[in-house]
Amino acid sequence: METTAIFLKQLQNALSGSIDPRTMIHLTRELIPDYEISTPDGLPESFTPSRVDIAAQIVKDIQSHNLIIPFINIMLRIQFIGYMGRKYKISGFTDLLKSLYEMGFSLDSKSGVIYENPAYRVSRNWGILQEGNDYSFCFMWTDLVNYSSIVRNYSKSEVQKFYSDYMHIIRTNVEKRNGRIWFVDGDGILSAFHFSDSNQSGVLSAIEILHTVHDYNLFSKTINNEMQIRISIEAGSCEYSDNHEDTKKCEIIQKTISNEKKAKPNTAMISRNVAMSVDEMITSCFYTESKSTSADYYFYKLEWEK
Amino acid sequence: MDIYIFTDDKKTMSLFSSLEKSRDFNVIIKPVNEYKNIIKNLEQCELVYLDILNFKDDAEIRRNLNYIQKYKKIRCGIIDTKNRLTGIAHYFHQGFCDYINSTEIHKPVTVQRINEVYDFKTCDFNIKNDSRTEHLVHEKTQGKELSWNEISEGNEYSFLLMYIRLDRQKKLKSEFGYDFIEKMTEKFEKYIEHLSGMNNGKLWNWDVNNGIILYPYSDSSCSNVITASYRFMRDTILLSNEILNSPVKLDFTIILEKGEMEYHARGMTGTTISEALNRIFHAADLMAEPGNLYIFDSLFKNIPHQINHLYVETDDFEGHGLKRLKKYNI
Repeated sequence: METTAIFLKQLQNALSGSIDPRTMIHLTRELIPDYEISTPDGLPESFTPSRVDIAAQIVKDIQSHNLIIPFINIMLRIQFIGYMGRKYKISGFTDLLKSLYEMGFSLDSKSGVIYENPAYRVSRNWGILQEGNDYSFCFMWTDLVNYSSIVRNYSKSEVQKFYSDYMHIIRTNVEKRNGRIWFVDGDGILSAFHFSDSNQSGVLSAIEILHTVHDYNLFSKTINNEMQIRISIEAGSCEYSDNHEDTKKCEIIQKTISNEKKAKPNTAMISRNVAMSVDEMITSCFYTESKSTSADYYFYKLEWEK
Repeated sequence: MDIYIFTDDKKTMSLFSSLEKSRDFNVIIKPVNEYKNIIKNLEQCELVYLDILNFKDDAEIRRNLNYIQKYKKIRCGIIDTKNRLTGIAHYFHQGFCDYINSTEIHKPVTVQRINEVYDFKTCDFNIKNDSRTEHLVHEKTQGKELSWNEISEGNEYSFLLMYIRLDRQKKLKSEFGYDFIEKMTEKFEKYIEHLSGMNNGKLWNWDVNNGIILYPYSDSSCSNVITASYRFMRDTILLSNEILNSPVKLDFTIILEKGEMEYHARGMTGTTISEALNRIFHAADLMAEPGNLYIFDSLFKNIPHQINHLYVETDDFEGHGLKRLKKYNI
């Protein structure tokens, strides 16, 4: 993450002006276990650095570990939720937030954490998720129906155009809701949603993807075959990894991918726990295949009056 | 997809470097003096950015923007790193789909931005050149869509009129209260104003929960507005939830009609003499069922063939045929 000297100074001042040295070090240890303030060369070990020096050292160290945003999220937490039963008022916090906005970060009003503003950059971890930590996500798996037959029956350039249109539809609808495409496996695409109402964002993306595909088939298709897709959505906890091979091993992702087969073409299928967590006005557009009131899966398909 | 950048400025060229990594886009940078030759041969829907930095004065800028804007089949954005243009909304009305000014020169153009530009001007262009709509009947303004600058008060023009209404006011009021309705209609009006501008329309009149949008008539603009209306009705769930932040799915009524009308600046519906305007209000009051899109027979020929099967004929109204967009997910 690129930072300016002014921003680092603001952060240092916010830290030294609001939190005692002992707490500063404890908070830093949440990100860097066993963290200690080093004694400057040539000074005895009994030397006690000032509060300002400690803040400066911490800011320098978290920057070198690329942990600035996670650290600011901890500061947000102790301001709004508290730490060891006490809430800390962070001085100069508004200025710090302004600088973050200018650097391309936003505050998620629901979760109260800072994440990268997708208008500036789109990275796999939203600029803040840490390798090896567990987070909750909504996952969406999209897959083309009969893609292998399209590959067999059309020229390379026609297939490339078809595939690129498909990618464009998914990417546009996922990223506009702050989702991320995590990996592409053949014609299957895994997207992840983490912020705000992540389940709702996933479900609305699925609905809009199906509507866009419907439009594509009416107005823009370049081969005789219609584009048909299946979508499955699941939510759950998963360990974050930058490596997509590791990501694939996550149980909830495996379940999302295997569920896709249960959906019919041009249908989105969501699990019960996802359906229960989104607004009723959205689930009311879904149908179930069983008559039971507690169906395991809910389906959405764009169907017009006969 | 190809994106052509016509610029002679190195800093501007670097703005688009992040797109070069994208599999979806192919960035082609060319000198400004080549743009006229190149855009003649571009295919539909391609995106072009024109840098106005080195045009010597306002007249030259205007001449060049007018020139490029005539190529309706392509999407065009303006690069104005010295903020030489004013009244940017006018250029969006003219059909430009992006504007990069001095405050944005330090931020690389992202894939998301380009996707949004593509979303802003979608491939409705396909409809304009569709063989099934090319033979349409000649009208007063056919072949040339008037810009609002060419329309003056007191003169008569052909317009496409859209009546749009947020339905079930009483029910919403009883369930959620007066404040909710007030907030919702305010948001709705703003959204409609924004939306109408995207197809060269103007929100001409607004009354509590309904409004009239005027679109200068041309065959291609009609097809675009009909397509946009169909999308609006189809996406009501997304609109209710994400744009209007409503806790319930909202219903909307749209009625489209074509008519001659003496133009007055804003919404004097009581004194404006127009059969089409009267008919559309009568239809809204007496016939239209909440949550439906209706099209009068004067516009049947403009329904793009791709979505014609989604309409059903309904009973005539005041001697005029009507079609209704089918309902979905019922």
